[in-house]
Amino acid sequence: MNKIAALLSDAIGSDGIQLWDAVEPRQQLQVMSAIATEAPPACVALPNTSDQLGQVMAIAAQHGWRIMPMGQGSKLGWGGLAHGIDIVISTARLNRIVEHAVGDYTVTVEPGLKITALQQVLAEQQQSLAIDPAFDQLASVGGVVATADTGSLRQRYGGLRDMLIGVQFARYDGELARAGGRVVKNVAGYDLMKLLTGSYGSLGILSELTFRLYPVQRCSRSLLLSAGLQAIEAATAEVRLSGLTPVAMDVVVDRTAAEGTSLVARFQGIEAGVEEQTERLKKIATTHGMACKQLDGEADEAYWRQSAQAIRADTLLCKVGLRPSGIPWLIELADMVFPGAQVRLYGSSGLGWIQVEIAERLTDERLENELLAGLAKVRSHCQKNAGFLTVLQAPKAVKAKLDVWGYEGNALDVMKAIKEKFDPNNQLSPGRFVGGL
Amino acid sequence: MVAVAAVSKTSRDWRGVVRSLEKLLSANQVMRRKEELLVYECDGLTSYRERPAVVTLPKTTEEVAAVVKLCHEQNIPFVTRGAGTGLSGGALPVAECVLIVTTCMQQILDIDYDNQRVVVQPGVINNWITQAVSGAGFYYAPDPSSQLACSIGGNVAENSGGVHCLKYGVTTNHVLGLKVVLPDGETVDIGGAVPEMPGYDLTGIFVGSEGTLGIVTEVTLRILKVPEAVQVILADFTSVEAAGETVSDIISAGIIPAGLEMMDNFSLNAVEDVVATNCYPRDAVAILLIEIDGAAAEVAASAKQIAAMCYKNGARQLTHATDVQERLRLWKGRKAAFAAMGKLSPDYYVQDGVIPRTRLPEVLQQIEALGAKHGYRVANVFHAGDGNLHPLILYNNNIPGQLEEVEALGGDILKLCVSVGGSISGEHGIGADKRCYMPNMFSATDLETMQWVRGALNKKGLANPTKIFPTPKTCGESAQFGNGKGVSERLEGLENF
Repeated sequence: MNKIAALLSDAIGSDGIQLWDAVEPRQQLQVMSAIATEAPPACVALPNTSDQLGQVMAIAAQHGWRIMPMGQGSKLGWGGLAHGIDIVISTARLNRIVEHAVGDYTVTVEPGLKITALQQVLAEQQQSLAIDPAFDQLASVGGVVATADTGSLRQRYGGLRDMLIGVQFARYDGELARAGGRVVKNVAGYDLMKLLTGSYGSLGILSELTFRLYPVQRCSRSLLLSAGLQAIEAATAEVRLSGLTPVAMDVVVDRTAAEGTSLVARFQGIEAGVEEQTERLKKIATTHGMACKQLDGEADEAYWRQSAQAIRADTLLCKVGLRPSGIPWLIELADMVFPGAQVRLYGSSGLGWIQVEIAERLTDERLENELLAGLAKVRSHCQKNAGFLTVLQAPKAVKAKLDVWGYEGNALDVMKAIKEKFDPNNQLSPGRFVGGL
Repeated sequence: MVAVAAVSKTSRDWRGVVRSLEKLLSANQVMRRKEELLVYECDGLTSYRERPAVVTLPKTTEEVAAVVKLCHEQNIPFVTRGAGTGLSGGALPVAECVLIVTTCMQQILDIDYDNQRVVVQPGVINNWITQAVSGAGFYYAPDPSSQLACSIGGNVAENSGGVHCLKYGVTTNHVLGLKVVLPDGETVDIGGAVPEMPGYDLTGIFVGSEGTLGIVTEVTLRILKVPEAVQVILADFTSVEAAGETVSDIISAGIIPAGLEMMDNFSLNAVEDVVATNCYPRDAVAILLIEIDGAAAEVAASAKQIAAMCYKNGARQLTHATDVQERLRLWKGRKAAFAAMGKLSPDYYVQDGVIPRTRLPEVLQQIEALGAKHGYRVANVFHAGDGNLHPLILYNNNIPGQLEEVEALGGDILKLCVSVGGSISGEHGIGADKRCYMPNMFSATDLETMQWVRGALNKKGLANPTKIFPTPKTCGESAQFGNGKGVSERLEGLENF
């Protein structure tokens, strides 16, 4: 046993430490996809409680070890590459539901809990955490918060930042700190929940999270409208400016689907409302000469289940954002630069993703350069439309050649100042976040 | 607590400071005369007063930055103030400070209907935004009761709510980006026109930071399409439990009303005495005001469901309003509740605690008992849907000792909220009013961690000092921490802030 593993197992027991060689190969790959260097970490620590998590952090701080947190590992490959990680801290064993306050529509959970396991428990009470993240079968609650990852449901429910109402996390020095609480409305103290959401493990390690929940809606129906891009643009703009209240409204480009490019709107609620709204959208579709496919019940479920599987781990994946009015141009540009790429853009927030198949490009330097040039073009378009392009997922060789985050603003010094307070010795996932933080 | 802090005499050359400020701004944007300063001594929390040394009225980001830079260079504390309607003393000046007032920054800079965003200066009044965009069928959702007077800058600072935040969220859910003058005078843009820009969510941390991290000079907000149909239902009940049960039933049925408000017998009678809406039954123990909005068929169907739930729980009668004038009539009393108290009594003290919604009936009983114990009547109006209570305590500030007694009662109510798993503030902010109760809710470690953020941005501690966080100087012995660990040293360390 190496020195690091020995010291940690003295503190939390040998059962809580996995030597690198004993780590499952799949997990080894996940971890290595997040680290710039070839040298693997000494071990993975698996605390059983938040106190143990704090202990591990405290020991790491004493020795100056560099730490990278992981949940279920499904999104470790997202974001920048960390440097010289000594230990990985897995929250996989911190997977309890601390409290489901059914009548108050809140739930408090530990970060390693799988989203699927949580949703199952909530569904028994006709409630849900209103998110639809990538890799939803694997993802953990903590990982989803650390990457701020949700999808189409943003249209109605907003981002993770809008649902996380309380948090406890282990600081770099091992102390556990809380912010927020367990009530849906609360302005006491600074909103550290938002600071931690999407911070990719660079400020601390989450140990407990409280979310507001929503009721599962009884009736759900989706409409798939397809036609040329111009019609989609016009219809999307019309829906945006109408009184329609879809829970999801995406512009989707998928060559493998029969529709090719489509506008998908999902309505949920009581039957009368869903019926009324879908009828109105059908009229809009007719005005623009669009084909319209209605998905009810199981077909509706199946469509969204399948959409949730669209993001794969072996592609180049970008998160993008731009003013919604720039969406049609982005789609045209993406089609030109990356023919065959899949695109899904959320109609009112202007966020979304672009996914490019890359297997063949990697063997060829010319194709790789084309890829980088293409990314630069698409990023430039997003930035011109007040947005951004972040390369979430790409082979390490590609990531090493570009700035994955694409932060263009003037507040990097503020971010640095915050990072220095939360991580004075630069031990927490160094290099992984914006500006190399 | 001392209501009026003693003005400390310092050796600062204020004449020199004023001369410098007058060079940065024009002379009529700098106020120093005693009678001019009077109005700025307090915000909506009138029981605390402190006179600023100088008041400045900048009009642009550059002017704000120039004033802040001067304060930074000369180590002068500064406090930011919007319309001054805040209820927690967030804009209360500190002794020997420069007060930076944003009321002259009143421009709506951009309206982008296609993308449903507006950019405004901080002095813009909340309601002006809705007025500006309503012609095109849009509105700005967060609607504090003071929306005709309160400014967006203040809303951002306090993360204000309102009756419609149950469905649509509070200020922070509607702010996409900010231009901010940092406490050292540097200007940065955070967030933007698109949510989740790369980097830390600085917008999320700024909203609700009560002027302790810098001064917001431009705000990018989301605007929403006006719902097609709106209906307000007024239901009266003979018990608080029945009203509370109805609230739970509505939420459990999957309906999220735009607003869901409760008033108790005392407050609805106070309102009828003063505004005479003639729509609240005076013998009701509690009334619910339920607003639902959305597509017409959906609203009609939800209204039917809600009516059935009200009757099931023993509602005596229901009034439905769909027409705008009728709806406003039903809301009038609720929106005038605080003002009505002001007419009934020389002074009132309002609290802003939050509890888990399901604990409502028992908490109300306990509030009544606390009121009896302290010898004051407490009127309750609250956002029942999200458990945000506004107990109003009536008193007379001219009677020595009453304010202190009322504050003690308010404190007991806040501790009660925390003890059932709630919060000491839902939408008014901590400010100067509730900072000494922060240790009831947070440990020394929690507060120290929050102070890391403050220390990162407000390095010299000049921006709105002494607010939000307890210090021995402001809270003395009352700043007792639950876990006790290293408390005194940590508090000492925070003294500068």
